[in-house]
Formats: sequence, structure tokens, C-alpha cells
Amino acid sequence: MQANYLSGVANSTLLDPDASAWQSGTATTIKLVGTPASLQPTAAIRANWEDRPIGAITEVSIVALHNSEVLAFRLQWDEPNPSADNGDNTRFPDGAAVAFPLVGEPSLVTMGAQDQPISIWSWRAGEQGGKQLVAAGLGTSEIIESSQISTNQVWHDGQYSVVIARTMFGDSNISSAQFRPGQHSRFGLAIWSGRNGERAGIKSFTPAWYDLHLATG
Amino acid sequence: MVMDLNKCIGCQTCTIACKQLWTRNEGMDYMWWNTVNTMPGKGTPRNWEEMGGGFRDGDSQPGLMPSTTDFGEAWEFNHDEVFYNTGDSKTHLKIKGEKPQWGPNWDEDEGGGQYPDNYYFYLPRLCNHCTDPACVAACPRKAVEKREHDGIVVINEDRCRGYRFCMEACPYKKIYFNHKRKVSQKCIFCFPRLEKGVANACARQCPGRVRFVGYRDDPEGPIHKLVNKWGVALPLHPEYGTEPNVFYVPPLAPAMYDEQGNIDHSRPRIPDDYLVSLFGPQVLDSLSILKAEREKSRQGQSSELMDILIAYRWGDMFGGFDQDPSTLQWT
Ligand code: SF4
Ligand code: SF4
Repeated sequence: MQANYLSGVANSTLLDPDASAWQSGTATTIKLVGTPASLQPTAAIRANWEDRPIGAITEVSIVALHNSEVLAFRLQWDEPNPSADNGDNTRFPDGAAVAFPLVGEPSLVTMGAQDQPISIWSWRAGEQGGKQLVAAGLGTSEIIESSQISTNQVWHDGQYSVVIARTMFGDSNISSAQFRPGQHSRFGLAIWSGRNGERAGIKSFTPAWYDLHLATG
Repeated sequence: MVMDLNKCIGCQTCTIACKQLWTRNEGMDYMWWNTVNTMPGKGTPRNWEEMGGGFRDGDSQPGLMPSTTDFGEAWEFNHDEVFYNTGDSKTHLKIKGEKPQWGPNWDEDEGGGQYPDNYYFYLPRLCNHCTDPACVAACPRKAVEKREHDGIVVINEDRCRGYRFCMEACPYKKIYFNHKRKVSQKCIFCFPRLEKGVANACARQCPGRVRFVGYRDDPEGPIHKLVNKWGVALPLHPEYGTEPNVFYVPPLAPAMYDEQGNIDHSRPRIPDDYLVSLFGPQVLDSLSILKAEREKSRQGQSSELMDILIAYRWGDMFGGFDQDPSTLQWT
């Protein structure tokens, strides 16, 4: 997938899921699968999920754009019943994340490994802003406080459009993915379906990485 | 902690002491880390004993999520109208919005049995600070921790991401979710007090002298004596497999009436089966010991067990955590 370069487009435009700028990118359809219950990190989670379907969202359409300062992804998927925290304990928020390898060839199924961490930009319905995390294996994700992930979302006609964006480089944190025009990288995706009780490792995801090329103009 | 169910009067002073001290911040309105419910009853959260979780033969069991409604939402009242005169003179205190169908102490004093042999008792509950805590085992982020030095189970709110697996796994359903701060929260066993030698607020405030505090391995303390030495204090639902560290002295029931309306001492109003379902088969031994020692006391003989349970000296209930909080600097 190519992240097209839009010279001079405002950062705020990239953060608007309905902006016409997104038409200039190429949409890629990506299939997702549910995580296996047997790989969940604790026995309690495995016991609760071994007989329940995991991965309610099976397909996402993604477009990537950058303006040499901000790299933005717009994820779109069908969701008839969007879910955010409404004060009920049984209700979970929808979520989405884009992951990047930081070192080597980490496995997405295991969320990286000790010496092969992955970087994660995440969005959660109902929360202000996004979060950047680093993970080096199942159940190890840590929030990187210093990093600013911008997110924005709209939901209409049974479809979510979610933008997840960050400045491309300049973040000094070693656990933070850095991007420059012309660079080749890879990405993976995850979606959490709140109505299906999905959170943490209970999600649909891309078991393999996809190529990402940042256009130069 | 040991609680003597023969002395609990269901006054909820413990509940309010805890509320005042710990759960007045944002997102905590509906939280009652300490609850007192009438048994038999649905409890708090509603029907929590049917929600699963915990361990069987060492294996994690599936557990249900208690809904906010099951716990009971925090009701809002028309205080403005009543106390600040924006209503007319006929305005009386009432709940704002829809009439609730459930709350944390909804089935108070309903109990069980048929008149004149009906019965009930009060069951105060808090997090059991279990030896094998299901909440700790369930969390994929290691956000729940059993403190090495004192055994208190705490949630690290900096690590918690609001996944709530602990709430499903805890078979006692003693964890709440803070929907404002997006973290799980529960009883902290008043650790900042214990660290200064002050017993838990629920224990010190209890007018019934129900609650004993201390380390179980302190042979001079009340916990060791009631649990280990006398064997009268038992965990609630030991079959849940988490090894609770809150224990209960089971309630001795009044006797039933016979056909002629005379008291029949051979038949207790609280069915043994029911107590066994709560505290396991050991409860029958516990009740026999309690009856025998009570009888000894009646006969004027001395009984260490009865002396401990009567709690002649209030300070002796706290296993050395008997500092008066008003004498301490808390800053
Ligand atoms: S009662 Fe529940 S929350 Fe408390 S330690 Fe035991 S399992 Fe954890
Ligand atoms: S304060 Fe004591 S007597 Fe009152 S409800 Fe609580 S445990 Fe029972």
C-alpha cells in the first residue's frame, strides 16, 4: 500500500475522516481474522472465550496519506451497532489500531517478541485522542506517554470512518516508529468490536504484515 | 479479617465508613466496596453467586460480568428542590428519573422460610484479599497485585487499561469499574491505615463489634485463634477456589416451632443445608463448637472462645492494629 503525499494539505484536513482529500488515496481492502482463544495470555480469558466467536469485524478498507509532517490512516468498516462506554460494565468500546514493526521481523500473532518490539497507534470509541503503545509479546503493551496520537471518527449509514495519525518523525522515544517520505515499512491492523465484548487480545487482526510505502511526491 | 455473623445488626455503618473514606471521587458514585446484604437473598451484585469465575481443581472457570444495574446505579435525588426551595411546599424527596428496579440492598430483611419459622441474617462482604486471587490471575497486564509483605490485593491504576477480565474472574464479584477514569477499582483493605497501625475503617466503626483484624499467622491475634485454633471462622464459598482471607463465624439460628407452637430446640430455623452451601461442610463443626462453648459460658464456666467473640476489650479485636487514628499525623 502506498501512503500518497499531499503537499500543503493542512494537518487538520488529514484528521477529518470525511475530507475529500481521502479520495486522492488508494483504498486497500484488508481481511481480518479473530485471534485464537488458545493464545490468550491468561487462563481466565481462555476459559471465557474458548466457546465464543472472536473477531466480529472481518474486513477493513484503509487509505494512508501524508503531508511530509503527519502520517494519517483512515480505516473504514461496517458496524451496524457502534459501541462506546455508556456506564454499563458489560459494554465495551469499539477500537482500532495500526501496528508497525520496530526491530526485525516480529510476529503479529504474538504482538512482537522480547527483542522484536512493535509500535501501536490506537483509537478507542468515546476517548479523547489516541494512544501510542509498544509491545514485545502478548500482554506486554505499554503506553508511551510522551507521544501524541491524533484520532477522529465518524459513524454514518452503518459504517465507521476512523482516522489515526501522528507526526511522522521527531519523536525521540526509541519505542516509537519513525517515518520519512520515500521510506518502505510495513503495517498491521486490529479492530475491536465492542458489541462482541472484544478488548485486549480479543480482537480481529491481520496475522501478516502489509507493505507500506511513503510516497515522495 | 473475621466477621461474627451472630453480632451483625445490618446497620451499614461499615458500608458508610468505607464510602466516606474511599469512594467519593469521580466515577465512584455507585461503588460500595463494603456491602451488607440480607441472607438468603440475591446479594450485591444481584445473583452474584451464580456468576461463575474462580477456580475448580485449579482450573480457571468462566465468569460473567456483573452489570452496573446488577450492582445498583447511584440514585440521584431532587435535593435542590427540597432543600433549596425551588419546589413548592408539597415537594418531597424522591429519586430523579426512572424509578429504579434494583439497588445494592434491595431485598433487605426479606430472608427466607415461612412464618413463624422465617429467618434471615446479615452478610457483610468486601474483597477477600484471597491467597489465590482470581483477579490477579486473570489480568493480562499484571495490573492486579497481591502485596508480598501484607497480602493485600491492589489494582495498579497506571497499568489498568479497563479490560475488566478481573471483574469476570472474581467469583465474589467485588470489583467495580470506574467509567469516568476507565479503570477497575476495589477494596484496598485500608492499607494506608494498616501501615500506620490503624485498623480498617469498617472494623473500627462497627457498633456491633463484629469485625476482627490481624495477621492469621500471629498466634496471639484474634484471626489465628478464631480460624486456626478454634476452627469456628470459615471462608465464604470455599469451593470458589481462591482461598479467601476474610472469614465468618456462622450464625446460630433460633429454633423452630413445633405443631403445638412450642419451641423445638432440635430444629434450627436456618437450614443446615443452606449454611453448608455458603460455608462448606465444616460449618456444622463450627456450629457445634459454638453451641458447646456458649453452653459452657451459660453454666458459668470460662470459655476463651466466647470471651474473644464477646470482645470485652474493643482494642483486642484489632490484632495489634489498635492505633487511634486521631492521634496520628496523616499528611
Ligand atoms: S475477592 Fe475477588 S477481587 Fe478480592 S482478591 Fe479475591 S478474587 Fe480478587
Ligand atoms: S457496621 Fe458492623 S454491625 Fe453494622 S452492618 Fe457493618 S458489620 Fe454489621
